[in-house]
Amino acid sequence: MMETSMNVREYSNISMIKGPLVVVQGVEDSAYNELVEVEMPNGERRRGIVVDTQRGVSIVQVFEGTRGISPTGTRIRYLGRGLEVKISEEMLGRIFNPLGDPLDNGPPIIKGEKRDINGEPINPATRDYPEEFIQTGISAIDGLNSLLRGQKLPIFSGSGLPANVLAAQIAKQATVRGEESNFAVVFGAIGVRYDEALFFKKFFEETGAINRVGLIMSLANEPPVMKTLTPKTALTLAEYLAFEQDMHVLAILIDMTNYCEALREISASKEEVPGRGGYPGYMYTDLAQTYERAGKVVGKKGSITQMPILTMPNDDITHPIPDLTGYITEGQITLDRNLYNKGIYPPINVLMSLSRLAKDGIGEGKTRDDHKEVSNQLFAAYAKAVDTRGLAAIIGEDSLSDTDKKYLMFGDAFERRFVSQGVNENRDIETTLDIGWEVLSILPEKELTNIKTDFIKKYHPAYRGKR
Amino acid sequence: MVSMDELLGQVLDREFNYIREEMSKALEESLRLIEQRYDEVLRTYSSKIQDLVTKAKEEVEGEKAKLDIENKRAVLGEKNYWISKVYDQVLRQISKVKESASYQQGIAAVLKREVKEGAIVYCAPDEADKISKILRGLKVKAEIREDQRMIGGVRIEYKDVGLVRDYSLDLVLGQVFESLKPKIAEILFGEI
Repeated sequence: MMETSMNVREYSNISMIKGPLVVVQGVEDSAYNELVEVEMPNGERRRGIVVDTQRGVSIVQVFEGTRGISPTGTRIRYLGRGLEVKISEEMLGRIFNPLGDPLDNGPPIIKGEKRDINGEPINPATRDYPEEFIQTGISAIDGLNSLLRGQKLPIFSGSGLPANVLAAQIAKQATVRGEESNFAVVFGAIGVRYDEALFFKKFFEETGAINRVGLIMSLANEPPVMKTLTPKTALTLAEYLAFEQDMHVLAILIDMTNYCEALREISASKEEVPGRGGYPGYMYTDLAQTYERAGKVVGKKGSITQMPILTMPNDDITHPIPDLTGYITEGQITLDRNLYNKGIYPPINVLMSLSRLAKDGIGEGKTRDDHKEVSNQLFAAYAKAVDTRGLAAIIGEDSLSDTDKKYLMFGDAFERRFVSQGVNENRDIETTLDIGWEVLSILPEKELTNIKTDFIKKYHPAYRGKR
Repeated sequence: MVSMDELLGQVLDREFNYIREEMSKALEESLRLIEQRYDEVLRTYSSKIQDLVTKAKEEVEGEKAKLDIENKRAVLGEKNYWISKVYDQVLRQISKVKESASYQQGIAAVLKREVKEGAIVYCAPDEADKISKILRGLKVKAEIREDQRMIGGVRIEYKDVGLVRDYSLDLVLGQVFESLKPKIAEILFGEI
């Protein structure tokens, strides 16, 4: 037994402590990303990881921060393995930190095995194309920007907009129709405030969703390293549940802006050359490594669908974070401040939103036969309504034609009846499409040029009673 | 020629029909308004009742889920308690492991491979003599220090480079036990 050495080595020559980094001298054999234990003179133990290794020098990043650590009397123990977290289905219904420690005053999990949280990229040859519809219960998403199983669809929010509430509502309501019992949500809360953490916990408990949600959380006042580990641990759990337990997993990561800010902080402390906006030059690759841990695999029943949520600083969509995210993900759901100011929840701007894969997962046999055409018509009509509003602002509403006035009415009805819904309102796709027809019925039938006559006769409210 | 009576009768009939028509329209209109109002009230209150039912259902589901999770946590806590009892029992029986030939050979192999002149070897108090004997056999001058916290194995400190290599039984036991926890739980509690 003693021969199978764990290769645990302990050093005490700390030459420098800078921010979250500890520089250890005399280390010849540390491995990059090797897990480290820091034991302070008072017996307190913290964990860290090797972030830089050279002959004779090793730089360790301490997860819990370096406050109170002194160069004398502190021992650094190299554990001979990477950062591994014990993962199992026992994590559903529980709250953990990124290192796998329970945060809900409960006991540690028993079942499961330790896994490297960096994961393995999915072999591109075994990736399966997303085609199954996920019903989020939110009309603006299900109707016009449908989410499919295995897709990555981020939500671009702004400061003060209700992205948290929307994320919690989606986590509670999302389901794959016909496979409700096999659906799980992994919620990665990155650098959230304490009141936000409390909100998520309370929301899931009170709505009964807690049973199917595994929450991995790091708070805003925790060291940046913990924030960067949060999505990795969350996605490791998602991968286990999806590809080994055959579950359909929705991974919601909130807020990726906090993740990128933590990355910037760590990069600055390592004195790396900054890229655009002061963010590290490798941020694109780093984000891609996170976002690409989603999809369907040939031969596996389960899947991971990702909904990362980010806050655009200053509502600027050209900011590096949303900009780079947009390159990697398959569309976006954009929240709009003007809609929010009008009291509309969720304030989803459907004209700025897009799901690139939606067309492959909707229609006959998947949602309803009229879904595609209603979706196209609603989008086109709303775009015209917004243009008409601009026109009305210039020439006055009285100068508009009757049809244009109808478009104005449609625009209001679309926002207040179709897009707007309650926090606890879970609409199935049929209800969403029926509401779509209801608002489209404001327009003259001749304006519904994107919809086949057969569908108009089948679903239009004017004809429904006559069937 | 029409008499006055007949004329009066005709006028009265006409007026009567007119009033009856108007009354009928008014009745129809009233009934329509009543039905409209009824539908409106029915819709509003049905929706309110539906909301209340949904809310109540959600509250029940919420309580059910919370209790379910509490239950799972309590069961897991209990399981962890009994597993830690197993660990305590293992520690009590550790002397049997330390007496085994493979353990002795393991210690000897580690010391042969790792110990150098001037190193400090930390060990459990009850093993100091054994370690000393092994070091004498290897003809290596190393200091032996007893560590009360150790249950077995050795830790070797190289003062010149500030390095300590940990081959303690505490470390090995901790890591092995952690990885065997699911199996122990299966034996104690059946399929989990």
